[in-house]
Amino acid sequence: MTVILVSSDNQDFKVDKEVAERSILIKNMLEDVGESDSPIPLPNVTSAVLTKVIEYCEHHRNDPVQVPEETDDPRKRSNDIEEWDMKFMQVDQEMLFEIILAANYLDIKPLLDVGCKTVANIIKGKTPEEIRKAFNIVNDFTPEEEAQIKKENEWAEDR
Amino acid sequence: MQEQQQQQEQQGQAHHRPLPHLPPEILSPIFARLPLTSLLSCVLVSRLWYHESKTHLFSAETFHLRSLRPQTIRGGKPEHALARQYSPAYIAAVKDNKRYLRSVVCSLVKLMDLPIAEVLELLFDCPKELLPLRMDGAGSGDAWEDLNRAVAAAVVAASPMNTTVSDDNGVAAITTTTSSSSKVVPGITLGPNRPALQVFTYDGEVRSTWLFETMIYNLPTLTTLEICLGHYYVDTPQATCLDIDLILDALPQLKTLVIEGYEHYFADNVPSSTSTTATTGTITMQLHPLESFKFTPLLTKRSITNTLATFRRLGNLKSIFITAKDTCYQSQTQKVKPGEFGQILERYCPKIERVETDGFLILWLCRLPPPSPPCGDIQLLSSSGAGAGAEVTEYDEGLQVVLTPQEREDILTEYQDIALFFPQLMALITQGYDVVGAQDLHALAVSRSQFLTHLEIGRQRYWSDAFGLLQDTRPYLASSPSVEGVDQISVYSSGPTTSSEKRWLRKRRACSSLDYQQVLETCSALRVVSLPGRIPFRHMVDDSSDTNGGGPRMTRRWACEGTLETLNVGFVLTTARRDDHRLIWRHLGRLRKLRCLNLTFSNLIPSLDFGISELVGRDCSQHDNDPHDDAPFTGEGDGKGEGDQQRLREQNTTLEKVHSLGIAWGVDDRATTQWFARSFPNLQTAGLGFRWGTDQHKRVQGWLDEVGCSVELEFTNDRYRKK
Repeated sequence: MTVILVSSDNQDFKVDKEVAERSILIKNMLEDVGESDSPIPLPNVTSAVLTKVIEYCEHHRNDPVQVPEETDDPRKRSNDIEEWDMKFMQVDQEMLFEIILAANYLDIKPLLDVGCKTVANIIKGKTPEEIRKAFNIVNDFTPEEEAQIKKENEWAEDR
Repeated sequence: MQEQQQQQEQQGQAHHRPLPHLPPEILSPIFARLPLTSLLSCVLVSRLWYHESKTHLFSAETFHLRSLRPQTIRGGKPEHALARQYSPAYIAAVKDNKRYLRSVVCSLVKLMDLPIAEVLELLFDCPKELLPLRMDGAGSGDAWEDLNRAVAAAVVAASPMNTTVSDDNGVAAITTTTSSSSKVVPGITLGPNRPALQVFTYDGEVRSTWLFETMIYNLPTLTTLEICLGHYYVDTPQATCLDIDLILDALPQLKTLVIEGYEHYFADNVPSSTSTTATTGTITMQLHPLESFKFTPLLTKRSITNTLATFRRLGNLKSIFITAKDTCYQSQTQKVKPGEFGQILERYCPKIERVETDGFLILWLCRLPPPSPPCGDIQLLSSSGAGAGAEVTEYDEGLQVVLTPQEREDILTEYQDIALFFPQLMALITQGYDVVGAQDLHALAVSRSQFLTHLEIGRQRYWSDAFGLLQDTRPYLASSPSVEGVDQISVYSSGPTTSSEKRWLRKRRACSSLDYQQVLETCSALRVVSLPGRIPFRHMVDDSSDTNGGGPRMTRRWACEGTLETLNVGFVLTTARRDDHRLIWRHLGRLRKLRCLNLTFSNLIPSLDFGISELVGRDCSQHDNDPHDDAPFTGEGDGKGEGDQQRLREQNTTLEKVHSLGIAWGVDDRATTQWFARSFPNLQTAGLGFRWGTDQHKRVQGWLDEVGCSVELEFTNDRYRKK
């Protein structure tokens, strides 16, 4: 059985129900409407992003639904990305963020998980200025505030 | 020049195109994956990032409340112990932000080294003057006894029937009462800045049981609890009692429970979790969410009835780890027998995916027919004392012969009927001396061949006591169905003579290399394999390929060639025939995802002359359908043929660690050394089979330096050298 997903730019995507149901949002919608051929509108996801999301769901269609428990070891928190997922996430940052937002909206926890790990890996080892540059964030602190925060966190210097 | 500048500006503009805004609910899981050093950068990025990342500064770190040894704080006052571990700035920051703490390690080996009030104030944000731990001044001279007496007084003062939960302002006191009538834990006034701890590790003096209970019963948000009780500075230690059911009652969100140490025993009372409804009189049972449970064999020392009742509520368990390093299963007198324990888990914990042990422990994975009675009610089994219905036998040399393909097939077919206790098992890890029967392995390989990912077997040793672990199964023979060609009475009176009689008997026996080989040939999802001993060359060779000793030979293919990432096993060859060694290297080269290799105790010769170049393997995406990949090796094995020359130029990018290439031979020629450096570009560590500081070490290091290879070498005497 297939379902039709409609992106925000009105493009139709015909996908297997099994694949579409990797999204808990869609799964719940399908359960609510029952047997129906009506297309499912996804107003928060563009066709470019939906293409990527479907690619991910296709690849992981046979994965167990339950997400493996995360390790408590901080060092491993972002280092255990599967090879395929890592390649899948090699996109420009705008697309990376859009995928994360789509995963959050569509409730696809494994994809959200991989997205968060990828962003965490980008942040690691960078200075505040480098992070701002990488993510195009404006520094809205006053110099006094910045100094205050540094003072607040002096405790961490000997950690 | 101007064009270049314009281009750069355009690129810069493109780069600074506004990125989508990540909402706080997404920033939070990102920050949760960052170490402290990265979080310190995040708080300085922007106001939004500051607010979202600040809480993670404290939740990312584990705070240690560790009492110090007397010699460490010599000359200082005990209350300064904390200050000696952390800077004053850090302690002040933690006290101000303790509500963000998620993980605390509490190590109290000597009570007065770290004021207990300090600990409780931090854990519960409780003003010292309100703590129910006032000493009355009439001390006994034993600090722990005084503390216990003070706690006992507080218990009396507290009303056991009144349970009030504090609000966030911490105004009201919480008095935790458990459903057990035997123990009541004193209430503590909880402050608003108290941490909602998720992880708590308690490593303490056994005499602090009351203190420990006071702590955990006031930490209901825990998802992970690790306990290790021991005796410190005591000449005549006494074990203390842990009530596993009380712990489960008190911590309803607990997912991981670890109980280590040996100075404890488990209360053998009827668990309180079973209640009878007043209206129907039926027994109701609420499953506890615990998923991972590490315990000592002491837990199985309880009566089978109570053990059953405890595990009956653990239907969500996915992982068990029986730690027998300190407490040998054999030393226990009253215990649930291995087969019975397996059946309990089979019946009540069907979700178990991972079984791990260390130390010496009998662990059986399956029920062996036909001597056992039909799979009936476990309680019936226990009351009748039938056990798992199988015997442990000594190493059975008669079954270690190389089987014909048909015999192998027969065994696998036969084991399809065996009931595996763990139908969802994906990982079996036994690190110490264990008795996992060969039959258990076969059952595993048949039932879980598509799913088993980890198989790590420690050294196998049969202890004489193991034989007494199960009752005699002979009474069941009378009711066993007759089997053609097997004289059942004669088998028991004079022993089995034929292989069919031996297999029919299905006595448990120690695993042999042939059993391991069969598992490797059958299980197709294995990622990590660590096996004791060595696989003989004759077990590796495909019998059908060796035509009267004159034809080309091949090794038996492993089902896990496409999945195996870590391999720790030995191979033993009785000849120095180059082709034989090359066959094994080629066999290893087929493991196309191999990242970590350890050939400890092997006597493979690691030299190009003996075919080590086959270890490189091939790019399977290009060679999956290549008929030559499976072609038997027919060359002279001198490494100088055209194919060999081509192989020398190939690279393997998956192998990252080679801990050992064997115990008997080491790499000791320039060509092999430099081929190694060239062929495995991602190799980080290499144990090439020689001792540190020897001439061979210096020679090989020199050859590696010639080609600019910076791989970290491991040495056969590292174990002693690093001490």
